[in-house]
Amino acid sequence: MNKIHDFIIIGSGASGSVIAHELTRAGADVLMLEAGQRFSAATFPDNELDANANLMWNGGMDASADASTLFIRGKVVGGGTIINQCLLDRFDDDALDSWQTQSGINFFNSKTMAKHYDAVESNLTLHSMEQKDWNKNAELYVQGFENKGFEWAPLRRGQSNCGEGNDCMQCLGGCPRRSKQSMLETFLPKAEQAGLTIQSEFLAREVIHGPSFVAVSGYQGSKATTFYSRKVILASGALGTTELLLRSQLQDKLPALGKGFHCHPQWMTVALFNDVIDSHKGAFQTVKSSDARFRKAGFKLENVFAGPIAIGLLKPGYGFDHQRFMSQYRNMSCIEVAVRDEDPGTMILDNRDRLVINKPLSDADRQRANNGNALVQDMFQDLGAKEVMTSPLQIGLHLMGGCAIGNNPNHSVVNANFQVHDHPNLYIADSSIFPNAPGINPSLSVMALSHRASQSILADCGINQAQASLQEQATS
Amino acid sequence: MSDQISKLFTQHQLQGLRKIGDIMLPAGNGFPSFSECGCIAAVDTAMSSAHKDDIRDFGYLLLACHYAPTPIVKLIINMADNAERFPSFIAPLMRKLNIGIKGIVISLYYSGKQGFSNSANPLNVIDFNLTCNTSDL
Repeated sequence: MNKIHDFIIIGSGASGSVIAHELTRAGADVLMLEAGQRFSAATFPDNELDANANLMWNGGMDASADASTLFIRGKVVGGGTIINQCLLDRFDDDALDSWQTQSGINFFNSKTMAKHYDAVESNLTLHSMEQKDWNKNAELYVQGFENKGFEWAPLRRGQSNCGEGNDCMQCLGGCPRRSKQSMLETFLPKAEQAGLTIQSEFLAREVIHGPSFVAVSGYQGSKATTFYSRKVILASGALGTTELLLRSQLQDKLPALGKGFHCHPQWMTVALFNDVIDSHKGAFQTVKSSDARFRKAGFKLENVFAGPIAIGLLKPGYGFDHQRFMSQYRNMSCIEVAVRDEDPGTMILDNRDRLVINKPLSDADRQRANNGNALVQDMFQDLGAKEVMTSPLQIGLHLMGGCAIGNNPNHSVVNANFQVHDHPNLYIADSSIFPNAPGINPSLSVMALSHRASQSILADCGINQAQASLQEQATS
Repeated sequence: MSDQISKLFTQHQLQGLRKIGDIMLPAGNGFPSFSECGCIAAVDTAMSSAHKDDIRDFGYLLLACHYAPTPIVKLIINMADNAERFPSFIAPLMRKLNIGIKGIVISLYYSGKQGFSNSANPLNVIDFNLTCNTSDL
């Protein structure tokens, strides 16, 4: 007879790991399913190609239907937290108010969300970057901002011990020092200690919802396998969770499924200087734009860079001109424009059963991007760059929506208790539930929402937080 | 013992990839050409996470480029790289072609992987290195 778990969590990123931690500490039997492989600090790839191929869906080359935007998402135990920069900001009132207005959900306010942010932050080591952490790329960014009279601020990053003289760009392929506060170094070990079972390299293809349990079918390699649990939490991110529900043919019951997709489309501008900049050396990102005018204008400027493969892909053209550009890799500085995209995209399955992401850029969003890119070009010219190149390639790193949260089942997929409408044994708390684009890095808020979701789930099961704490004390 | 480079692509398809790669990344200014640098040995790694339909379609493209005269291949690469100049009904196809071609060629070339080649490594040419020391932990 097949085992029926208390919970199955599909996805091991910021959402799934936080929920796994909360459910296992309450004593639940939890199985986590993850499509990617399991790596550790000692086994992460040390090469950009290997990292792309082994840690990301489709090698980081998931494209929109019109091939104008590439979407990058993690496929590894720990999910996107393995390949992101672990920049952990809370959402501001602007983002939360906008969510409350759109969704009708009352807990989207700073006071209520603060206790969930506090709870997840207590499991993380957070570091506000200091001036001594800056590399030359950051120095140019700050100088450019001050030349223009724009406000900047230090970034807050999840990191514990980056040591001296190390290049944190390596962390984009997994942190070998166990410093970056990915799920693999924070919530997952605690959950495993409390009994979590992780089944990696399992590709979930369908969920079948029943009144007393849910079946999750998929493939372990080429072997078809089905797992069962009383409740299932979908935590595969905006693309993964939406795709799984579409494959499960729930679109007729959930009219909002696949709608409301946002991605904070990003454009990178690379400037060449006569001096060596070495943007890839040292702390990778240390400062951010904090100017209220940018927030109002719907974009932010990020102080980033990328490995040689990514820079080579961003540069249009080929041949000797492309090589001339690449030969100046150490002389490059980079600022990225990330747009708070207003107009949503959609996700559907095509007749070959593949996910199609329609994310055309509206005129308004294009204008936001153009404003930001023009500003960055101007800043670099003022700083004395000898050449400035804004890549035409759009990148989507923050993938959000598709299963929006809300009170109205016609315009949302999950309710205020994170339950899929009319499917009481299915829950979602990952970035797919975002009602719109917040314009802020989403990782910490995914964790906070997942903390709240875990409380709802436990309450639905008749377990309150006090019982969970007692259970945890008994276990320890 | 096998000297097989790829289990995904045939010899003719690999020759098509070398032809495309050498047009996009020729030898000069200290750089080796795409085919000289030996990076093609990592082609299966680069394609390992791609959908099987995409691998098949890319194989057809490589085969076509193997048999097509070099000027035609140059024209295809140039058209793909200038997708925005095409009408909206054809531009997405050109962009997809560009992502496919450029994605593989650039990823292989700047991976630093060289197979048995003794040529200059493109990562050394651009003087790229990353340090992440764990000995103090």
